[in-house]
Amino acid sequence: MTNSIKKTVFFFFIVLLFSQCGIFGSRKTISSKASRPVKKVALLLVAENDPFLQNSSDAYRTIFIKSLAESFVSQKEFDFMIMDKEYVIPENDDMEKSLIGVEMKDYDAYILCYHKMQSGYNHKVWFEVFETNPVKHLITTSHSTRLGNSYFMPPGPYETLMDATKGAFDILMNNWHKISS
Amino acid sequence: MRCLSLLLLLVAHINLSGQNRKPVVRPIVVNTCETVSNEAIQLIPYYLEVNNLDSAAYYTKIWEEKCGRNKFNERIKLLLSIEDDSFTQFMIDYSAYVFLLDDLADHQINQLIDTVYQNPNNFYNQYYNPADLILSFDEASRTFSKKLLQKLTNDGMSLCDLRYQLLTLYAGEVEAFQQSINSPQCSDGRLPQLINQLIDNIKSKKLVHVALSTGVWIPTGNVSVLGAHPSIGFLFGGGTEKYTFDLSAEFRFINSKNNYTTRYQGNLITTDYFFGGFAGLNVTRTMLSIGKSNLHVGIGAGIDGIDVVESDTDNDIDGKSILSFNANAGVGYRYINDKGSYSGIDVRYNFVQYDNYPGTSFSGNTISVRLTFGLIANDKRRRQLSDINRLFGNL
Repeated sequence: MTNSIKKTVFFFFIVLLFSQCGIFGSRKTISSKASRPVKKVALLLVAENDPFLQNSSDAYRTIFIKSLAESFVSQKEFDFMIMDKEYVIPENDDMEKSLIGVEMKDYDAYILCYHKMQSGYNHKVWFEVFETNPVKHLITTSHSTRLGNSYFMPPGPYETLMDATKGAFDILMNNWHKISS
Repeated sequence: MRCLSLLLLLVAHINLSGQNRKPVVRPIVVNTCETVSNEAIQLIPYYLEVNNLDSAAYYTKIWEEKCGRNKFNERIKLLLSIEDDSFTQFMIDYSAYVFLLDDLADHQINQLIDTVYQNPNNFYNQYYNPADLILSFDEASRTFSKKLLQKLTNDGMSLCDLRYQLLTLYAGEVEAFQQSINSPQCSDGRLPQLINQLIDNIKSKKLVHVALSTGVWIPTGNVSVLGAHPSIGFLFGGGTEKYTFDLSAEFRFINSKNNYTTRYQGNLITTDYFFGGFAGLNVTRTMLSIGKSNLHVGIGAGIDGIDVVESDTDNDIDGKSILSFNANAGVGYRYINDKGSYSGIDVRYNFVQYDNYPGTSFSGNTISVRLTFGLIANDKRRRQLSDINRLFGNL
C-alpha cells in the first residue's frame, strides 16, 4: 500500500498547491495609533501611475467606487465620503501622500484607495490610512484575489475587483480597534 | 396692355426661376432602434410631465417594436397600464421580473452614491451612458410613479397589491417595497413567488467543495496497541443544501506507541513502524441549520489500511499492508464563512477488521476526529444569493 499512499500524498499536495490558501492573500502593516477619535474619513482614489492606463480604467473606476461604497457603508465606526478627485501618486512617494493631508483638514483621517489588475483577471486592492493634522500613517491593508480567493469557475475582472475591495476592507475593519483611540 | 404683358413675363420668370432651384434634399428618416430610442428617452419624460399619456404610450410601443423590451420601455408600459387600469399580474413575466431586479439594483446604488460620493453626477456620467438622458428619464418616471402611488393609495390600494410593489419600486421607495415583499401577509403574491423561485433555482445549483482535514485517529480495543496518531487528509465533493457526497482520503503517521508483532515473509517480526490511511466515500445529511452553523450526521465506506512493514525498493524490501473494509458513521458541525467556504469538526466511529494473525491482535474499531477547512466553494452561487439578499433586504 505504501506506494499507492505515496502517490495519494503527492496528489494531496498538488491539490493543496492549486487550491490557494486565503491566508496568503491579505496583508496589514500597522504604524501607529490615532491621536484622536477618527469619526470622519475621506476616501481618495489613487489612479495607476501610468498615463496609458488611466484612460482605459473608467469602467474599473466606477466598479471600484461602487465596491468601496458598498463595503464602507456596512461599518459603523466612522462616517465617510468618497472624494471626486482622483490622485496620481507614485507608490513610494510618502511626501506626496502626506501633503494630501493639508487638503483633507476637514476630516479626521483619509484613506488612499488603490486597485491594480494582476495576472489572470485578478485584482489587488490596498488601503493606506493617514490621520490628518498632524499627518501620520496609521495602517496599510491589502488583499489580492490571486492568493486570497479560490474560485470555482474563472471569475471576471469586476468580480475580482469587488472581492479584493471587500478583502482589504475586512482586514482594515478587523484591525480598526488597534489604530483608533 | 403693356403692363399686363410685363406682369405675365414677371410671373413666368418667377415660375421658371422656381423650377431652376435645386430640389430640397430631405434626409430619409429611417426608424432604427437607435433613432427611436433616442427620441423616446427624450420625449416620454415630457409627455409624462404634461400628462399626454397617449403619446407616451405610442412612443413606448414603437420603442419596444424597434428595440425589443428593455427596462425603460417596460417600466413605462407597466406604469401606463396601472394608470389606465389595464394592468394584470400576468404582465410580470420572467423578463419583466429581470428588468425589475435591474431597476431595484440601480435605485440602491444611486441612493448609496448620493449619500457617500462627493459629486454624484460625475459618478453617473461614467456609470450611465448617456447619463443626463437616463437620469432625467428616471426622474420623470419616478415622479409619475409617486403621483400614481399617492392616488391609488388614497383609493385604498392594499400594501400587498402587486401594483403597490411596482409603484414603490419605481418611485424609489425601496424600503416600502422591501417591507411589502418581506411581509408574511404578502407571501403568496406574484413578486414574492418569483423571488422564491429564483432563490430556489440558485439554491438548487450543486455545491462543490475541496477541503483539507487534520485530526487524530484513536484506536479502541486490541488495536489500541498502536496508539493514537495524527492525521491529515482532504475531501472533494459536492451535493445540495441537505446532502453532501465526498470522496475523502486520510493519512495517519508517526510510529506506533508500542512494539507489536506481525508475520512477514513467514516469520514473526517485532516492529513499531506505522503508517495508515483511508480512502472512501462519505455522505452527510444536514440535520439542523442555525444562521451560518449547521449540524450534520454522516455515514461512509471505504478501504482502510495500515503499513506494518515499510517498503524499500533500493534494498528490495517489499512492504506489508493490512487492509480492511471501513464502514463509518458520525456527527459533525460546520461553520459557513462569508466566502461561502467552511470550517468544521467531524467525529466518526469506524468499524474495521484488521487481520494481523498470527501477530499481535488488531481487533477493535477506531474513532477519528478531524477538523475540516473548506478551500474552494461555489462562489457564483454565494454571490447570487448575497445579491438577492441585498436587493430584497435579507429574505
